[in-house]
Amino acid sequence: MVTCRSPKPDPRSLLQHGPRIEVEIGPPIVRTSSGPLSPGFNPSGAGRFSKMPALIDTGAGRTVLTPEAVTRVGLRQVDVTRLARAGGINEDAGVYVAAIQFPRYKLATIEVANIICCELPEQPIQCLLGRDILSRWLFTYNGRTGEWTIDEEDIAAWIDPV
Amino acid sequence: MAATEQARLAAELQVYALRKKEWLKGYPGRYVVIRGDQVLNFFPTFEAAYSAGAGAWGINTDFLVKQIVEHEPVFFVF
Repeated sequence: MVTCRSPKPDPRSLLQHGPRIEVEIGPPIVRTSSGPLSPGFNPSGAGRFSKMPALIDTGAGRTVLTPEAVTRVGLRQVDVTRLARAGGINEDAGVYVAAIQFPRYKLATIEVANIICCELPEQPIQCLLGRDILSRWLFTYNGRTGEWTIDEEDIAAWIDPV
Repeated sequence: MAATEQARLAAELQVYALRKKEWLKGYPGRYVVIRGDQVLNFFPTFEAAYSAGAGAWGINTDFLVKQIVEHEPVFFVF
């Protein structure tokens, strides 16, 4: 079992910004009998892991990344889905595949994850970790002390869409 | 969603739409992998489906990984 805690207890920061965790998003890690597949070198920087803060969002059914972040990392689209957002907005959204790492914590890397691409207007953040990721963890939010914790057991390195 | 993204998997989504009814009978809940009009196979998990597609066609190739379900899901983001 791995337990991770927010950097420092801060009720005001937690109230203002929500539970945030640094992630690295990159191309999926696919292991075959002849070794892992690599996207190869790209001078634009696409295909490499990109570090960004992510908001842990229990209101998001799936993990979300902005179009800017998807382009920066160079993710490949694998599907299209229907997305419903606050304000009654319904739209088609691209589904991409990615790997997610947690550089500051000993949480397991998610090697193959589904990510929905959509704009996150009014938010200073490019990634929402949704309930698909949360399904791997015991997540505790303590608004009184201004802390959050994540407990993770040994589980698979991928998530299946709900 | 950008028009180019929609166009990217248009052929594969069309194959899926045409054969969805048939596949719902034989492979409900499974993930199908399609590139162009080529159907690779059906898989029990997304990870297995994506890995098989990447193994067959490479990680830098566009292909569709779609779960075969009667009603397409709607995901909420709040």
